[in-house]
Amino acid sequence: MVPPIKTENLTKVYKLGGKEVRAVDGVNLEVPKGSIFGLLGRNGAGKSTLIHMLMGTVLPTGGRGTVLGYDIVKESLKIREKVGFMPEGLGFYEDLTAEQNLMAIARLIGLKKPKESVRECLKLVGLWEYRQRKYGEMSTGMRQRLGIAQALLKDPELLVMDEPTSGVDPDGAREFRRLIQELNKQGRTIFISTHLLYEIGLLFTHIAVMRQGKIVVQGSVSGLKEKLMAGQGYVYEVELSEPSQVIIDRICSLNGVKEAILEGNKLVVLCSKPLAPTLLSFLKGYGVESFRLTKPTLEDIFRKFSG
Amino acid sequence: MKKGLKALEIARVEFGNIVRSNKFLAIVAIFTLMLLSGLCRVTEPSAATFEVPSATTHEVERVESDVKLGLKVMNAIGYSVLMLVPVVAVMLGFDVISGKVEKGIVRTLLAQPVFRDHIIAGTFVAGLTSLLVGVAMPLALSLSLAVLLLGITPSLADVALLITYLGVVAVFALAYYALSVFFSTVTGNSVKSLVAGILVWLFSSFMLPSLSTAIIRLLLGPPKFEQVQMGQMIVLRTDPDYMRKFTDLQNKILSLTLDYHFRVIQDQLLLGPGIKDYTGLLVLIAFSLATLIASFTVFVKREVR
Repeated sequence: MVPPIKTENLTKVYKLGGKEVRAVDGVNLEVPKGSIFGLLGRNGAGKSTLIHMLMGTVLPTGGRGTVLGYDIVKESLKIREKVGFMPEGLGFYEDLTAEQNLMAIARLIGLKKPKESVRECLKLVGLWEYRQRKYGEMSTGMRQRLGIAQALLKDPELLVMDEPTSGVDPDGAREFRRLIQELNKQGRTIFISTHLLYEIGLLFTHIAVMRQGKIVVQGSVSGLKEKLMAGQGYVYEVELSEPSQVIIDRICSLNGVKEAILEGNKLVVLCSKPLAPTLLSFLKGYGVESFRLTKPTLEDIFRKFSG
Repeated sequence: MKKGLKALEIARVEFGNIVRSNKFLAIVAIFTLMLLSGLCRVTEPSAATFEVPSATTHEVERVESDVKLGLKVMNAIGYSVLMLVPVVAVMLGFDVISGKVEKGIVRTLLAQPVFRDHIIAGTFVAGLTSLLVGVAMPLALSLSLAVLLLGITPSLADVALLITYLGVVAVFALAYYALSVFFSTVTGNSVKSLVAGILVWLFSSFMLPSLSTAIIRLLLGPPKFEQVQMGQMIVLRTDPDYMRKFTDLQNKILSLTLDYHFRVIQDQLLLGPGIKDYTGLLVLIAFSLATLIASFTVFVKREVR
């Protein structure tokens, strides 16, 4: 099966003031079908350039790539026919209404039933009531929803969004998450670039982290968390009803335990390998009230790899 | 959808957006008002009326209606057209490309199956149509009113003259519009583009005519006079040879501006027997085409950053 997005050594070099800037540097990316894929990285990491190369609006300097099986250089028009694309900072004609703007795009795409498609998309993003409102009079949240609506007009199997939640308030971000989950349930692959993890981070099934134009890590979120734990260690948090300082030395003598700290009745044990059963049986006599493995968050992964 | 149709679809939407905008309506309203106020001058008695000695009322009326229509139009709105058309064109063109980039419309359009040349071609078509509407509509309205106010029934030749004049004004507007679009494309910034357009207009219309006399004076030295006997009096007259050189040099310097070429055609059309020398018109058309092609090339080659 052809992955929705696949790149091999994709590179973009800009010349700025006589100097070469490698905005995207030998990127190998593979986005699994049906995933919600997060392309993460700080501002200027090269995310937008990569996305524009995928959509054929920026020509690569080297390497190759396909989107839905189409070549990003030779078949960019086909890609933009099939893929719902919401670029960062998109805008519409300010003196036209939401409906007029979408109708214009529907005609541009060449939809067979533009009116029906526009109505469906406006309803899906919750803008049907505001269809007669001019774009210039819309709030940021409404504008963002109109941006999603234009991307959905093609009924795409792949949706590509560049920083879709920047400038959106918490309510808008929540509504956006709901919509993305709904679209993903319909079987669509969703590719989102962002640096705002707290807003949409929980949605991602897969991520890639970009740093200075390079992909430094990619994979499924659960797999990456496992990897991080294996590298940094497994942290167990235990609450004890009968804590004792004696316990520290004894636990540290166990094979695989790197460090143990007791603060009040809370014991934190850092291990180099999974040790849950060993620790539980060892702590039996100290009144274990709760026992949990502290998993790294997406932010931990992002911080470790984004530099 | 075919390539040409995509550009036309963009043009259709763009034109709809332009004519609905407050900016466009304000420009057309102000231009119309200025032309109409200029028209009020046709109701004043013209100089030609007083040149007829001991004329009766009947004779005065006859002479006034005999004044060439072109001269009346020139007297009424010639100066306003020369001053205002560039401003209207600059105001309509300064954000044609930069505004679309700044507002993210180019990004939205490029997210669809269109190329950059579709976008700029559509933008040109929409812009030129709106320019034609924005300049020709108020002008046609004013000229029609002028004819009505003068109480004359225009002959076929008069109608032909007015239509030709509209065409010439449209070409003049196109030249300034193309220049403004070029600034808009190259700078990618509406404020810079507006400032550049207005500066060119100020330089061409006000600064260079004054500067040219200073430059010529530097080149030719102070004016030379000759004494001429007029009856009992001896008057000083500027040396005709000096004046000829002065005018030649001034025309050469001013020919660097768009205004000069328009004025030459306007004078031929409205004050003379008709257009005999098409150089000015060709210069305006060539300039417009060259700047539009340059804008097209710059826009198509530029990438989204």
